[in-house]
Amino acid sequence: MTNFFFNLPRQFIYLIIALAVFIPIILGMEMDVIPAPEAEAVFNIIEDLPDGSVILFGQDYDPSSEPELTPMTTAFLRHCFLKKHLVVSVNVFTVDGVGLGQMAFSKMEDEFGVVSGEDYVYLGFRPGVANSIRAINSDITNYYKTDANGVPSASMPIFEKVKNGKDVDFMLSIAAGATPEAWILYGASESGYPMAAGCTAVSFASYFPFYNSGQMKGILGGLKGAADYEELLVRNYPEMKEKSMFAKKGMVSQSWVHILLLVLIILGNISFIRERAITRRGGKA
Amino acid sequence: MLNFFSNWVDVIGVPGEIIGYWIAVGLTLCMLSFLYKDNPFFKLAEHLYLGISNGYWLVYVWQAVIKPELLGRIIPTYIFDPLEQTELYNQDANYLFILPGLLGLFLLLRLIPALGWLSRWSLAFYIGWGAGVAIPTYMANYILRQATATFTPLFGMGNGEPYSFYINNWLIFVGVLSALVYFFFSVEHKGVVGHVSKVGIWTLMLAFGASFGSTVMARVSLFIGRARFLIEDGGSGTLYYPFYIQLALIIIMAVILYFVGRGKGPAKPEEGSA
Repeated sequence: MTNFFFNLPRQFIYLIIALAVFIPIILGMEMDVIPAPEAEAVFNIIEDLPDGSVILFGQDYDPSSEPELTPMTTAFLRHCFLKKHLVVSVNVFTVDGVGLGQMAFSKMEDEFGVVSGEDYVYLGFRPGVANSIRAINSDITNYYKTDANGVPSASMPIFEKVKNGKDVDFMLSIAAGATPEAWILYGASESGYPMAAGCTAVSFASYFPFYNSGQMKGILGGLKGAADYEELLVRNYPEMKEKSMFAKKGMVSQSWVHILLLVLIILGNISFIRERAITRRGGKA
Repeated sequence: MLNFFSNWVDVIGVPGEIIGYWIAVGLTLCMLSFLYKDNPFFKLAEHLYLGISNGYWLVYVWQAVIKPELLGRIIPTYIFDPLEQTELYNQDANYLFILPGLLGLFLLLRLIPALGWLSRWSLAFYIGWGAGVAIPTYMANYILRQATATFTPLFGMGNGEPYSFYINNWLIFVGVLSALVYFFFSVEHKGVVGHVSKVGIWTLMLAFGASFGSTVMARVSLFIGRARFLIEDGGSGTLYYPFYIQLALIIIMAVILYFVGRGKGPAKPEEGSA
């Protein structure tokens, strides 16, 4: 039995993990999600801001983190546009993510009828994290002469209300890398806007010191953070039930895999301890 | 990629979006085939990803950065369309932007050994600017704010705060202090210092455990995202074909990839060859 676990081909483990992921999605299984307090904090800030507030949104990710962060972006933007907030969005992380940003806003145009340059603007990517963020603090349209589609920005109606970081009411950086820290260092600390982070699950634990210190007002962590936000959206806006909420659906697969991994870790350790005991007794494992 | 193909409609009587979708499905399976073993299909998909990313970088940076933000500010009348980008066309030329442009060019001169030394000017400027901007804000936000956040009330239960508040504060206090002691190498870790540094090790292990658990969760999420794409057409939730046809085609593609790729991975080094 011990040898069975040690000799288990790794492809077999991949196969059962694949089954644990695919089956719940194919069957359309769903489960209850209990929102975490740090996700609820982000939702409540957006909810409590008066309609038409200015949201600065850092779409700081690329395709390698798309499965985790796109559902988060979709849920967050839906909330912003339900509240009729103005969204100014940039990508300070990488060029590769610009297409995803354009797709996200194009989806919002279809769902809410929002117009680029009036209800939102997606300014795309410019190289240099620190200088991009600092330029937003002082004069947005002087630095971002055009939006991501090459349309001149200075004459856009949205910039009559938003000149620089001082006009921002809340900032969220949904990020694959460490850009939320850059937004704290060069953005929030200089312009004074409250901010939060949406991040991959890998970075989730490392942002808690900033949450504890109050430098971040909330955190959305990985697919679970996205599922939390979707759950809060559905609870507060029942019409959102009709929309595709992928993160919530993904939670069943996520839970199945976690249970599976726990079982495998326990079995592996039992096998290891048993083999060690046999070897110490001088027997053959 | 799907957007690209959506504009490329009806090439062979099939909407371009569907062609794009199936290419993406094929490439996804090529990438996942690495789980079995390294093979030419994985290499093909990997190289395509790198090539397309770099091509996209180059074109985007030229179109969205160098053209409008650098050349457009120096010679706007040559760069912008007078009818569609009137306000940019009419802006005054700002010749100061020649300077950062030159510094950027100097960086590329590393490719010419005789002139490579000029790239140090650019790097010196960049590092000097970066340090000047970063050091004060790092001090304020990383050290002072974080240190302040550890000065939390440890006593005073019954003042309205829940017990969990004080438990958290004690954990932060003990964890930060013991981890700092662990990294204090000027004193030998014996006696009280040794015990405290052991607590520090445990604190670090717990932090690493939390990070590792989160990393596993993240990797599973990525796989869930790909699974969603394979089943639900890239997240839009609209199936192009009935699901059973789609599933059958995906399985057929996976089986073909398996059999064609079988035995084509890099040869294992023979024993003793090293």
